[in-house]
Amino acid sequence: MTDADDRVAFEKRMLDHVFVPPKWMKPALAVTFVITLVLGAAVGYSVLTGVGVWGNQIPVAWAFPITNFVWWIGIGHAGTFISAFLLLLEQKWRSSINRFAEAMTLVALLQAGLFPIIHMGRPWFAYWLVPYPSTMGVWPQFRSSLTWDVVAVTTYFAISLLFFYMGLVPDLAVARDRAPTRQRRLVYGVFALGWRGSVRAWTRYRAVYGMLAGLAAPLVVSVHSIVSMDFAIGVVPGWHSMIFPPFFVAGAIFSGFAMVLTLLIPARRLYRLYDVVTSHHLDMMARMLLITSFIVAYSYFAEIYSAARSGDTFERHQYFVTRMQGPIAWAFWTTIGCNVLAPQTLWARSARTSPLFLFVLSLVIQVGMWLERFIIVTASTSADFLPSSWRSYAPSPIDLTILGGTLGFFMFVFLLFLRYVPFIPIRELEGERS
Amino acid sequence: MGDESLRVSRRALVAWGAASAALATACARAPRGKIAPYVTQPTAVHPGKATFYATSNEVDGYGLGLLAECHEGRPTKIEGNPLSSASGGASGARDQALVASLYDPHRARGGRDGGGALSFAAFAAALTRPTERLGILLEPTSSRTVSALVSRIRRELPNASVWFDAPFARRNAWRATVAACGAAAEPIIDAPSTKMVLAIDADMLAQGPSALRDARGLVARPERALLVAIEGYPTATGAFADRRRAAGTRGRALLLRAIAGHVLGSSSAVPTNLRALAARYRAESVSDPFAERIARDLVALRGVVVAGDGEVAAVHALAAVLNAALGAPVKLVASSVVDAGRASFDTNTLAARVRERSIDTLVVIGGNPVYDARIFDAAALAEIKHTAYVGLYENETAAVAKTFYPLAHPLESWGEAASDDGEICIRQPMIEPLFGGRTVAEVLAAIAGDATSDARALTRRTFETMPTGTWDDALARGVVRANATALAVDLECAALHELLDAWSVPAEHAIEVALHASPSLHDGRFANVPVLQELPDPVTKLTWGNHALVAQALATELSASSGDEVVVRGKRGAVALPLVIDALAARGVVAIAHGGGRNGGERNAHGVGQNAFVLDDGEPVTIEKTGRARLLARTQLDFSLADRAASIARLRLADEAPLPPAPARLSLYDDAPRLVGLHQWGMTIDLDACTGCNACVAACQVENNVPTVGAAGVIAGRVMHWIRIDRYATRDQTVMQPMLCQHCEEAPCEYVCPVNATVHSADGLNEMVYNRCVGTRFCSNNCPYKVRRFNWFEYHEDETPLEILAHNPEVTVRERGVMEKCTFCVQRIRNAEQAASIEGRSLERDAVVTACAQACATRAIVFGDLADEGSALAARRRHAELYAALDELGTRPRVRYTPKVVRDDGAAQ
Repeated sequence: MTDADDRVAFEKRMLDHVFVPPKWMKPALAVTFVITLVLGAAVGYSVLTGVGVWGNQIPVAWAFPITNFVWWIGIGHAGTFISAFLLLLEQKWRSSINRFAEAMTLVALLQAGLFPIIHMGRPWFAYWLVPYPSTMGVWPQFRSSLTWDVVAVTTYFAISLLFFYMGLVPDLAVARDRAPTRQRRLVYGVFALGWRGSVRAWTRYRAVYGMLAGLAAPLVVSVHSIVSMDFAIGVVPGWHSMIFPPFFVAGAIFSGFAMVLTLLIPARRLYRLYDVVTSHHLDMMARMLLITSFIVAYSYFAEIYSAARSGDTFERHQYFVTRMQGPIAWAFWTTIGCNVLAPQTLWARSARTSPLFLFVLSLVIQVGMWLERFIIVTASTSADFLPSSWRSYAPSPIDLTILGGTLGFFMFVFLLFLRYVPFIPIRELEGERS
Repeated sequence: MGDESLRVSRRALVAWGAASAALATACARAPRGKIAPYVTQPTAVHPGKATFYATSNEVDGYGLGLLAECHEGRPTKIEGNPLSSASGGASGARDQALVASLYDPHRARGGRDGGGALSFAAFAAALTRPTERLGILLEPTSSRTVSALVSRIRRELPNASVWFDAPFARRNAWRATVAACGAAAEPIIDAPSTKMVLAIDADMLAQGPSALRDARGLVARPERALLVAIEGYPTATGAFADRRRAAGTRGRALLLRAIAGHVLGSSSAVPTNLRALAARYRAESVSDPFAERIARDLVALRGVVVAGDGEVAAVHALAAVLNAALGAPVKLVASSVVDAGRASFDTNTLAARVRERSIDTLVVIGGNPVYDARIFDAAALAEIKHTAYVGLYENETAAVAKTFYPLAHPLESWGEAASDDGEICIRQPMIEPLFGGRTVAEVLAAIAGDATSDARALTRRTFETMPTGTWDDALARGVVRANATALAVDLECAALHELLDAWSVPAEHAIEVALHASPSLHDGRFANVPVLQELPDPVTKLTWGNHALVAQALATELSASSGDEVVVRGKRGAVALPLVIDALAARGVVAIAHGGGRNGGERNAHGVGQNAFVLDDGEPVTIEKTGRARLLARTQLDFSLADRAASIARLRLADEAPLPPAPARLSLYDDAPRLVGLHQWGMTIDLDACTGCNACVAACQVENNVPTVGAAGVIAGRVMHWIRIDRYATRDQTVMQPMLCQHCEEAPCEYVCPVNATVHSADGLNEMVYNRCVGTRFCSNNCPYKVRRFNWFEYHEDETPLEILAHNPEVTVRERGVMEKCTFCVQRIRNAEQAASIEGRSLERDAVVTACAQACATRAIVFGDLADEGSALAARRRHAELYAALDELGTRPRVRYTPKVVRDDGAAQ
């Protein structure tokens, strides 16, 4: 078999995932679409009736929506991290999984972006947070981290989208060239932007891709840093903390890698990608989990230690009473179990290469990371300064529906990606193979 | 080349396109409404300008002088009449709710006969058959007009008999004074010169006809009086008191006997037979240092003893004896309540006559005797040939009445009443009766055969018997001073001794029930007013419904916790209520407030609480758990201050050193914010003067169109009050801390708002721009005082056009999705500034008063201009112990507090 034959066979195998969808695809799309409709109904109900249909109250005025926002946006970190950082660091193993991770990032950002808008009392005025030249001469208030958030998240989304699309262009060209029907040729052709694969094009492409990576890499750090400032600029004990930016970034990458594993391991099995996503890949990602878990664990320790040494009644009460003994202490201890203890199993090589174990662990970590954000958002405000206003929080059924709904919506859009886009970077892998 | 005129420039195309898109999508039409100007301007109505009229309200026979603020001919707010001795310009929470009850959509809409509509003439005609035996049941009243009409009916209709009844009529107190001084009398404390008060099961600072006067006199002065409370259920007065003991009826009787024994035994002014009584009391009582200390203090400070309305006549008599023996600054004046202490208050005779069916026609005017369930039940009333009811609502009593006619609301009525010290307060109508209601006087006049005189004429006639000019004076000032007859206690008189001798110590019960008037709903008459239902109990902070309040020990016995439903069973009936544990509750006592379980036309009150009138106050009861649990609609869940007292609510004992001010903080920033306004608004709150009576909370809610959220909303943590009273337990004492927007100079809410919706004004207000708010709620999260309130739903959506009339037109009604909070009554500030500006003068000193400060009887809240060195506020700011709540956060609040100082220093030692 020649190299060319091998190449053709590889391209065909990869493109068949798209051109000959597996049998489970249709029912999976149908189920997730129905869940998406339920999400739409729940969001519609909230917007039409008022955010009072949720469990939010005074003092816990942010609760599920903001927890979900931070969680989703954290998940949306791994993609660009893998693509940009690992590209710049010339980590070869990234190419098998980067598109997968980038798509996950974009879809997760879509979920994340929903929450800041619908959580507003008057979401129809959400555009007031955007600095546009209004005739009233009123600008957003730039000292508020929510204004920074708008900028950070939209920039991150734009660059991530561009980066994802840029990386996709050569493979869209392959899809165009091999598409079985004229209609598909046309669609892939439009999106392939006339890519011919000339050496000159490749040279330009590499330069732009590298530049975008250079742009995207700092954004990975900045987005979650700024999201963390939604809390850190507040006076609330449990929020008012200097370590939040690095703590949040580490947590984001931690949960993002976990999400990549959650999606990749079943896909690897369903599409039989054992040669593309090897146990080396799993091993490398498991190591990333272990490293970021350590940063997260250190942050937990640092928070608690500074509270203990602060001499501040309010801080101490927040960490040692509200979180460790309060009504949601179970969430705190579960977080420690999920995010600090469970990843310690990854010291064992057998754990790092066992797909089933990693899949289960990735779910555990995601639960842990969601609970961590839940505690930060709700526990801090539920018992802050004046005991008279302390009140613990409980979500409403609508809250739970919306969280579940975004999971369905996430899977729906991600399945559409698997269905229509070459999700393994064919050209890049070819380059590596040759 | 085409036709030039058809050429459209790119710019024009875009403009037209955009305009069409905007027209097609964006513009929602404003709802249509018609505004018609006056053809002839009425002299008293100034569009856009509030006018104030003197009026009054009457509860249980005692009047209170008030002012009603009217906009375009409709009352919107109640204030106390500063000229009234009983209110002194302050007002209670229930007075504030008068406006809401006026525009209550559930009020009865017209007369009826069986099912058909009934005119007043027809209604009255049915009552005026002279041959029939007529019974008339009225609420207690001090109206001279009603008194004259009652006399006339008794004179002219020999077959008619008149009774008076209300659940909290002061029968026991009158019985005692009839025995002690020969006539029903009211104790009037000379509060400003009183050094000590012993309140026995009396919520004297928050409830009752003299509450406002006493609260101001005892508390609002440089050195407030020593207050000692012995009470069966936790009250605002007890929580405020320097010393407090919770005890059941037996415990209170023993304590009072011990105190009386000490006081009377040591006084030389006491006749010998009383001394014998004292010796007996002393022999019977157990030695209690608490009682001994109170007795010593009473003697040394000539303390006043006040007995609660629920106490038996002997306790009132003993209180009168003690006051007389001590020479306490309290006088007894003849009661102005019509028939006070007379047989017509003995409703047992009425009940007997109903049972015997020796009444053909029974007319009930006001009250709700079927709900009260003490006189007769619905079945007994149904037996009477003709029962007629005149009331505000088609309630339980109306349901059994054959004919019904609506009663006029106080704000629709002409009339007058007397306060407990005899001062006459005129009642002027602010508006024509909305539903054609008639006043009590009009109904009585019709029964007496005078169907033509209206309430104004009847009231006018009353004033004709007084010196010339009284009428004009009453209209102008609202109140007329009247010299009430002073009465003296005859310590030797036989009736008094008989009463005291007959008083034995109540038997010991395992569990007894303490029934009491609800601080907000009273006997239930205000149950349909959401503002009052949602007003937290001063102590338990519970809203919407009554509860079975017990001490921890009893709950442990039942192995029940707060929220568990229990059945409290007495001789006559039982109620199923949620159990609530409170540290201030007495052992072996289950305290239940009245006012729940109204199931008539008062639809806001349906299913809210249970009717506790099926129990008898002080009777032994059994309690058992039902196994069900209820969610408690509570505005405050945590009463502990932990280690935060110094930061939040400061308290010290009087003999301790003054609390030091907070240390100056180092700052990296330029310290003083640059505020350039001419006036700088601020407030101080004296924790040593706050009784937690809730008047400020209700006043703020009415002034600022603050919505109510219902029990479900309170349970969800969404109560909307702009000012709340936090109750904290610290050092075995209670601190009540009014908490409202602190108007921080370095406001944590302002810098986190992404859209500039909360900003600072030049005169130091933290302003909320509702129009700009998108509802991110970051400001609330970042508010250390948690005083911001969010419109989770469109709370004003379901308001009827009638309820909308109650809104203050000077305050925006907030829509769904926006944050709101205390504005320091910015509308009052701007009104005063504009008035001054129009008249070309500067703002008068202390001209602006916020609604909360205005209602406050004890002057705990003082508002004013910090920039004016001579203002009342500036004087308060010079207090050595002034502090800012959560000072360490560096928010530089404009609201400052002074600590509570507990006078537990045993001044008599």
